[in-house]
Amino acid sequence: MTSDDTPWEPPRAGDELAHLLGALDRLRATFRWKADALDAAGLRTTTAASRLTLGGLVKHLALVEDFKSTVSLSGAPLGEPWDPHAWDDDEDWEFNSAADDAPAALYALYDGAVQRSRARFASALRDGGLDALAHSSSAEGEHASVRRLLFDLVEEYGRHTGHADLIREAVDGRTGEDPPAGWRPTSWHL
Amino acid sequence: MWTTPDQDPRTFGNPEGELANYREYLDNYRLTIGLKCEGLDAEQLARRSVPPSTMSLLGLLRHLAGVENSWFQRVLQGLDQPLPYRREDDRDWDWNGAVADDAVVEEARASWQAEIAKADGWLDSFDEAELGSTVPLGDGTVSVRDVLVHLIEEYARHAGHADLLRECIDGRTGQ
Repeated sequence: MTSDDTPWEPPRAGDELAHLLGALDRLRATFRWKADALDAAGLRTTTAASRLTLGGLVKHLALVEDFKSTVSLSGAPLGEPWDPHAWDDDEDWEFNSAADDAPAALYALYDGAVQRSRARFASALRDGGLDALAHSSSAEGEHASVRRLLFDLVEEYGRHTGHADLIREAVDGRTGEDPPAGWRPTSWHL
Repeated sequence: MWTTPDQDPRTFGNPEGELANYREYLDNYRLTIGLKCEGLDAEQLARRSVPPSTMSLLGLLRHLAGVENSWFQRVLQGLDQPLPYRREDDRDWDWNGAVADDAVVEEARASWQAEIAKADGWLDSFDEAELGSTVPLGDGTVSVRDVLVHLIEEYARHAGHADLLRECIDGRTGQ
């Protein structure tokens, strides 16, 4: 197996930044694999007593990627393609509205958000590294470090991938810790 | 008991330094898993509440005892200890042996906590400057840093499993 088959594997021994970004990218790939190649019914499937769906998680993590890399990181507005008033009547709007979105639109939204987020964090890291203070702050005015934002992303992905594990198994039996070697996201545009 | 915000044992600080950061995230996940398992009886803890998955919260506690042991004792320290809940005839004994029995529950909690205590003892004496040092893993090596980041990932993912397992037992969500 070569690294070309599993480009999401983090380095075995790199510095703190390489490991943090490596862990995040592996989780992005794993989550994408858990949510990949489903039709609208698959993306809307719930399991047992929970209302969570894979489509809802895809849209939620797209939002998280864009939010952390704009509002939290630099204070910039959330930006396209989001409407900041979408949550006015439903604080879980991204989870709930995903049921009305076409699979191709959901996957494209997510893939685009990851690209934007990677670029914004790369730019911030070039400027100030992990110790730089982000715009996001506590009620007491203590700013989070860029390190902290990236760890929040790792945590958030890890946890939602755990949700995706159980939902996907209920959808079609797909299980596993990591994507198989050679896996690439299915594009619904092709 | 579900905690109120002012009683939440977890910390949400902004710790300075790499090792302190790793430890805070790891500790908070351990506490989160503990909270998700609180206030349930043996039957609820052993219930496979999100079929067709065979996961249960009790199975998760046993699995995490093995995770702590595997990374902190075997990989990071090179100690040759028997892996908790590993049976030659059933590689998933941590999950499969999680039956609704008070004694099994107590043993699992104690085993997980004992592994955490051993791990913390090692971390307490670990020098942050050594995070880049490597230890053997499989046919290669891995840095201490990579193991700690992976553990946080792994705990986060299992906390996601715990979220759904708990929601499907009694409707509890959050934390």
